[in-house]
Amino acid sequence: MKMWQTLSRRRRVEITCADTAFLLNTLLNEGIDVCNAEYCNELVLQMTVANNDYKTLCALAEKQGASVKELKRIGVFWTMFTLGKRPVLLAIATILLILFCYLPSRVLFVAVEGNESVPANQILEAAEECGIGFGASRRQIRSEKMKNALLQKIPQLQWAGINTSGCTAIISVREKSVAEYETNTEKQVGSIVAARDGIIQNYTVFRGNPLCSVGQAVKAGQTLISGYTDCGIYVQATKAKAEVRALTSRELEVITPAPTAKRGELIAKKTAYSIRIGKKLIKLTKDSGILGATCAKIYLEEYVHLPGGFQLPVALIKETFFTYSDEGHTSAVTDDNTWLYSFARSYLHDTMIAGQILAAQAEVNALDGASYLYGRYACIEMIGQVKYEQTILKDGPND
Amino acid sequence: MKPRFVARLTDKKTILLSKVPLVELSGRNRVLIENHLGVLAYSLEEIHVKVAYGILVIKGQKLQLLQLNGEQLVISGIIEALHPIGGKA
Repeated sequence: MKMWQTLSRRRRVEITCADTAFLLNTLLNEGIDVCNAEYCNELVLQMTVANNDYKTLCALAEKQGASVKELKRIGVFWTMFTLGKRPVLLAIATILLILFCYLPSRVLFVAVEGNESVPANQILEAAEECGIGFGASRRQIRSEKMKNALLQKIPQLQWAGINTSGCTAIISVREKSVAEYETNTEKQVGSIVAARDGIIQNYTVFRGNPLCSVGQAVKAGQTLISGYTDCGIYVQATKAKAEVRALTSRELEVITPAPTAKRGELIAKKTAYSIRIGKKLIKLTKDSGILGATCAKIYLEEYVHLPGGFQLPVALIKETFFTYSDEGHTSAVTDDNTWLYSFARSYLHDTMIAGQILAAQAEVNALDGASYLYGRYACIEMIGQVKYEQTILKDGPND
Repeated sequence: MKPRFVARLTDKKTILLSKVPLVELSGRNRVLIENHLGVLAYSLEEIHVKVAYGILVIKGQKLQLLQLNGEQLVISGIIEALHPIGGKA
């Protein structure tokens, strides 16, 4: 009965009349059901009647000279009717209801366990590319396809398993041991090719079949040591291993502004904080300042992470400004050309593998307010580069 | 001698057919009256209900009509006394 009363449309009314008992009897004779009749005083009575009986009640009360005052509308219908007048509340309630149904089937956080040498971030990035990320379906991420995709993305992993606990996806991994990983690369078939043009000076072959000779001019990409060896009745395929040194020629251009500012001593240091929410930047410190030529800045951005590694689009930004004294300008051309020469040499040394410069021809000129160095260098360096044979996977990308 | 359950059924039938009021008191807080003929007087301390044989007076405190329709009348509150008044059997 109570449930029906909640569902049905009812009205709470207050009736003022001379004889409340007589009115109740009249209502009874007319077949009007009265609920929760409450005696207020000799003349006033409060009661609840069905919405359909309200008009009859009013007519009867008018006949008897009584007054009817509506106090409240009761029932689900009226509640929904009232909600209809509050669209924002209704919209929020609807969204919450949808989220309530939708969220439990989705992954909100991702956690990694079992990794030692492979960084968790790398696994999380690979997992996100495989579809294991924020909002992914819980049912889908537990599939074998996902696990295999993850293993393909990160070859250092031997095994991966994905479980869900609530809204958190837990990626459990087991890494291959280092020896096992190296053995795998050793098992691949590969040749050694020339990384750049040159004339071969000497070579030492540890494994493979040499296809070049000393004094031979080779071009970049040309196979020097093949991984395939014809043994007569079969062809042996291995990963070639060799050291090939060749004479190479390198050209270098270095340009630097002619007048360069020289930094003096540190005068002042200032720190400014700001918060980034999405693309919006809120500066917490006044006068962040405009950087001058004698000012340097260290910029540090710390994003907020939830347990499981999920990154929120909220970051605390710390900017440290350093102000130095100005000690004037110097010209690289007029003052010190040796800096350009030494820079060019050190740059070449860094780019070569076990190489050295045999001869150099370089000159510095002034060009539109800048110092311009052009040099040609004869070098001897290692030009061998491993090139693995292509392997075609049945259901995946080709390497 | 009639068996007991037959006698009980016969009594019930008699009650239903004759439209005599059926009063059910649940503890001290609720009275259900069936086959009533209306309310004659209503206050917080006393309610007079018209029944076939006369008037049934319910006395108590904070009396309230929980339900009133043609079939039954439910009164709640602290029931102190039930007085049937009337000559007809």
